[in-house]
Amino acid sequence: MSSNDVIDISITHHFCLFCTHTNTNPQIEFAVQIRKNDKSDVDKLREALDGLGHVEIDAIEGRVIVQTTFPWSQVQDKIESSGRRAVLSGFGGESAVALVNTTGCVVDRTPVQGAVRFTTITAKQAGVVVDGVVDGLAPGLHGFHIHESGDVSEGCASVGEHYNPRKSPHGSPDAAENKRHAGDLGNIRADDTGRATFRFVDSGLEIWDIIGRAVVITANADDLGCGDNKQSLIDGNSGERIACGIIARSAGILQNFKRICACDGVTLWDERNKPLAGKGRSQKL
Amino acid sequence: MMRVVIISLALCATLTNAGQTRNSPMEAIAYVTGPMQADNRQVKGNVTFTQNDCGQSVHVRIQLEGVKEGKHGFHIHEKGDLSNGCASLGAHYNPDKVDHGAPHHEVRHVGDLGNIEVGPSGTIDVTYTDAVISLSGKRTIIGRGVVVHEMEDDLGLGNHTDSKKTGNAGGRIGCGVIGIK
Repeated sequence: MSSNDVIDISITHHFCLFCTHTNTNPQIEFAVQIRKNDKSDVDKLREALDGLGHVEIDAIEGRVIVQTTFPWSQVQDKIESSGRRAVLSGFGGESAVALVNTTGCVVDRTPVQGAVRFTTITAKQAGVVVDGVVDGLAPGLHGFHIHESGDVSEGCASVGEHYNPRKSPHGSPDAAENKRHAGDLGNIRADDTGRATFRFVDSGLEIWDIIGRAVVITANADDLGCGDNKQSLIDGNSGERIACGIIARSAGILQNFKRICACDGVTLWDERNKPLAGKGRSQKL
Repeated sequence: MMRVVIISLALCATLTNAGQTRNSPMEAIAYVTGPMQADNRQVKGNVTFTQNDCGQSVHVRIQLEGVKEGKHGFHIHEKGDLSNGCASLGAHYNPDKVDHGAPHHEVRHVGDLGNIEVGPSGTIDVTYTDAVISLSGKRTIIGRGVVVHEMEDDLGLGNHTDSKKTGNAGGRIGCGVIGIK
């Protein structure tokens, strides 16, 4: 096992001396309820996804893979606008997801609710794509940070401080490593409806290093270390933690073919129509 | 068995070289919650994992309340992704692709932690030690999901077709993501 790994690394490294990186947008995989005998489903899907990037549709398996720079939530909305239900089933290569809400754990719906996904860009390139959608925020900017711990036993209060392995001051995500916390991801902006949709690349993060920690959204905007007080170099005066979630391992594309839960017979599509938790779910159990 | 120990020590060392150094002992926590049950109870509590050093056994402390009396399957799933319930959590964490079993079996999923046995009070506080799971290295359980099942895990010994895959323990009454403490 370990000797195989060594061989693997040396081969790919050798190979990479001769290759250049071309298209590095991660692929997003959706399970889609495509009717097998209705070709118009595929045509409608193609039409809905036109212009988003490279699209592969497998009508037999009910699978759509899109390679794009658009946020996953917008791609999902486009697919569902064609009249077919979709569930995101794979995201990039090595990937993670944080389900964000007011309590940081799986409970009934809370005033703030969202999902933030992370994936490697390519296996050989440092950095992660951060791609999320969060509802229920006050319109405007909100600080967005990775905290050192994934302990939500006391809600968002117990996830520790900004993830800061280099003991740097707080700063902007664009600042040098020694002028920002690794977990400083700046701000996200909520629109007039309270929804923030965002996608960006942070070249300083590694996926394996952030899994098991937490993302936190704050009440106020992060001043990115440019405020005139001490607190600015600690948390950017970003205020109270209003929502958080643990960064959990998730499936990359073509890694998870599970469509039904052996334990309770609940299908992917039952899950799609149920709330993430709460009464709607317990009635099924 | 000796071979397994050597391999896991080697993996620990590799990752340490790659920069993943953590102060020992390593600790992780999953805050487990579940939906409101028909009897108006809700499963919640902490599962904490402590590993004193790379390659050593992990102490698992399970503190839960609101659990129906009896035995309940208790597993670690491959992913911690609850965005689409049990489908996105993946299967039991099973990197060796072997049959489902009991924690003390030679053949088991890494994530097979057996059953918890809850008394009439509905609360439980037990600590046990597992030599297969780890908080570091390539097979770390950090970021994966913990699931408490409605029914007893038959430990792969039942007649049901799912026995060798899942232990046939029914739906989920509680789950949580294993985070760094």
